[in-house]
Order: sequence, then structure tokens, then C-alpha cells
Amino acid sequence: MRMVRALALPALLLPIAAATVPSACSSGRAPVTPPASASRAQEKAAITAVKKAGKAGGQLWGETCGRCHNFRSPASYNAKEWDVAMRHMRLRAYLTAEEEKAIAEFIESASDGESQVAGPRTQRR
Amino acid sequence: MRPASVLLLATLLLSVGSLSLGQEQLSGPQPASGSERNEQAALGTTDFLITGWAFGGFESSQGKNSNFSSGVSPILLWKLGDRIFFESEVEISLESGETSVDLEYAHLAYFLNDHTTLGVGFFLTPFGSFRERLHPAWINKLPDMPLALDEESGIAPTSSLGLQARGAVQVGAVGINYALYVSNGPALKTEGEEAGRLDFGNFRDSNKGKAVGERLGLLLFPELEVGYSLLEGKVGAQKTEFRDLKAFLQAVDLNYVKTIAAVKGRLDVRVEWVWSRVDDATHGIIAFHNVSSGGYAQLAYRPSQAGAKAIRDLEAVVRYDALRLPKGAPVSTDQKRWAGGLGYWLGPSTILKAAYESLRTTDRATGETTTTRSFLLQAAIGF
Repeated sequence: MRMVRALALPALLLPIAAATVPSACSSGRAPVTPPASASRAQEKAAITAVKKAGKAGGQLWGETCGRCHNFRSPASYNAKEWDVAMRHMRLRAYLTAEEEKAIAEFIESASDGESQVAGPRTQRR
Repeated sequence: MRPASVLLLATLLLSVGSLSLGQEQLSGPQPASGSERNEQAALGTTDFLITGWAFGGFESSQGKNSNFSSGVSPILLWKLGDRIFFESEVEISLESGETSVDLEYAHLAYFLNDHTTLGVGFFLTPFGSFRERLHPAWINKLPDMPLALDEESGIAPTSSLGLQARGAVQVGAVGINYALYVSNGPALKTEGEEAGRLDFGNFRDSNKGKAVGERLGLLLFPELEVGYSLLEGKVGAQKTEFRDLKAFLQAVDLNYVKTIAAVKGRLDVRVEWVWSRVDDATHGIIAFHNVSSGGYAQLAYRPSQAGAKAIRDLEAVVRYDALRLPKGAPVSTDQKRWAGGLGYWLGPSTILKAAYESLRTTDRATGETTTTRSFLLQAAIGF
């Protein structure tokens, strides 16, 4: 029974927490520094994009993607591909729907900036 | 199914039910306008992506033939509307002169609400954080895996066949993530040199009991995550004298990643430790106190804010890892290894790695100790 209690406790507590503290997601986050990348130009573009897009999406992008790996250029996938990749990352990185949405919107806005240099890209539907 | 499994499933379903009530549904389908429906119909609603990673490597160890290796792991992703998602990874590699093809995961997920996802199939086991998030060659800082977490020699589960519920919630400034699962579970090996060890590649359940497990992670602040995992289940084959033997595994993991201006770069700290206990058998080749442990601690530093590009793209890493197998087991060793490596990032997901390792192995039966030094090279890419 010790095992059952250990398993059941977080399962019970988490939904209660989720139900009683809805949408507290973005509070208390510190300013983000984009994770390291190989290209100085990409890093500069990303920093500019973070500033333009506002804190939430850019912050989450830096915090969640950089927690495991270097961040990829927003231009590395088109908008539809990012939609799929972000859904994969929502599973792998334990993102909430709100975080997934905020990061996807940030990537879209950042890639709009990069596309002026990189050329035309597939448009988000 | 054992009472523990039934209770866990009931708890899991209750949790899911409560979560689905009273929550803002960001992920749920939204009514589409006429023009949106037309646009969706024109473009289709199923999105597909092939991504993945690949590597080529070289290893030279004392007392062994040096060897090249290579592998590719395509990841196939399908997004079928807003709620259904399928992910799969196939690992293709050259090992011992043969091509090995292994399914890493094939997982169908249903996004129930903003904070809970249900999954069925073959999924990366949410046990610790290395296996789920850090094992791809372009993410792993060194060319090889920690001894205790290696798919072949390790003591932790890699992939599981079953059901899971997972998700995340934010409570104030603290992020909480969780995963609960029921699976076929590992099987106890009872013959040969590996007798007493757990087989995590057990795709057919060897008994009527199901394994249950969970991982709970806390993001105390965005750069720091700590996690606790456990797995419990029957591991003995049903029609043998070992059928009542159970295994209980625990793990703790810590991940800290932060760019610090004072050191002009990014620090990446990873720690994961696993403890495994299998009930003692009363007779036979596995009649020993079956307790194993192992894990790793790793520090990486990348001077990402240095002036020269050639310096910015370097990353230094040092890792200590260990694996202690039970005394009395057919293979009863205590291994401790130090590794130092240097990586050079050609791109955000392309790296060249070189590492030097020193492995000290002590035979717990005789006390004899040997040291093996190795030199490893690897080129890895995430695509």
C-alpha cells in the first residue's frame, strides 16, 4: 500500500492544483538570455526577435528549448512544420497548451523577421 | 492486473476527469468560420514531419580493437488535428558487423486538455530525464551514454509498452510536471551471465502483473528542475518459481542550465542516479541480494559570450558515472568512470566531439581491479 499511496498522491494533488490555480503560468519569470548557438548572426537575430515579440513567448522559448539543447533557427522549419515540431516538444518537454501556443507564436514572429534575410517561406495557415 | 495497478488506473482516470472540468481549453477544437473551414479543407488537417538525428563515431579502447560506428534515428511525427498526435522513432545502427533496427517509440497521444495528455503504445519511459530528453547524440554532450542509463548495460528502463498520462501545471512561480504510467514492465533474467538483471526490452508481459510508475518534476525556477521517479512491478515469469518476485526502482534527477555573464557562457549541470532492488530469490542462480545502483553527474561549459567565434562554438564537458551490480551475481562489478570531452558546434544541432575516458572496474567477488582507457570521436547532427 505504501507504493499505491506514493503514486496516488501526486496524481490527486496535481489536478487539484491545476483546478485551483488556473493560468498562473507566466508569473515570476526572469528575463531570458537566448541559449548559445553556432552563428553570431542567428544569435543576434534571435535576441532582436525576443525583444520584438515581448517577454512571454521569447522567454518560454529560451527557458524550455534551452533546457535540453541549443535553440534552432526559426527559419529551420516552415510554419506548418513548426506546428508539428512544437506538438512533439509539448510532449517531450512537458509544456502546457498555453506555453506551446506562446512559443509557436514567438517562433512565427521571429521567423517573419528572419525571412526578410532568408527569403520567402511557407506561410502559416 | 494487480490491485495496485487497478488503483493507479482509477486514480489516473479520476485525475484526468477532474482536470478536464473547469479548465480553459486552449488545446481544444474551436468553432471555425466558413472561410476557415474552406481553408482547412483545402490544406488538409493532417500535418506530417520527418525529423531525427544521426551520428558517426570512432572508439579506441585499451585491449580492444578500435572501431567505427554509425547510426540514424528518423523521427516520424503526425499531427492529426488539434487533439491527436502520433510520434515514432526508429533507431538504425551498425553494431558488430550487423545492421540493427530498433523501435524506440511508437506513441499515440490524445491531448485531453491544457494540462493532461493521454498516451498509448510504446513510449520513452518517464523515468529520470536522460532517456526521455537527453539521449540523442546531438544533445548528449559526450559520445557515449552513462553506464547506468545505457540501453544495453544499464539498470534503468528505456521504453515502455502501455498507457500513460502526463502533463504540466504552473503553481505560482513553480512549474510542476508529471507522468503516470502502467506498462508490461521489465522481466527478470534468470539464466546466463546476466541472471538477476532486468530486461527492459520485454515487449511481451512475462506475468499477469503490470508495472506502474511515475515521474514528478519541479521547476523551482526556470533554470533548475529536480525530478523523482519510481517504477514497481512483478518481474518473474508466470509459470516459474520466480513469479512472485517484484522490482522497485527509484531515480532522482537534477537539471540546471543557465547563461551566466560573469563566466561569459552557459553552464549545463546534469545529475541522475538510479537505485534498483529486486526481491531476493530463495534458490538458484539468482539467489543473491539483488540491489544495483548507478548514475552520472556532468558539468558542461560553453563560452557562448566570448569574443572570438572559434571559442564561442567550443563546449567542454566533464562527467563522472558509476554502476554497481549486486555482490554474488554472475557478473558482480563495481564500475567508476571519469570522462572529459570537448565539443565543437558547427551549427545549432551539429557537433563534433572528442572524449577521453578512464574506466575503473572492480570485481566484487575477488577484489581485482582493472583500468581501461578509451578515446572516442563522434560527429552528430539533429535534423
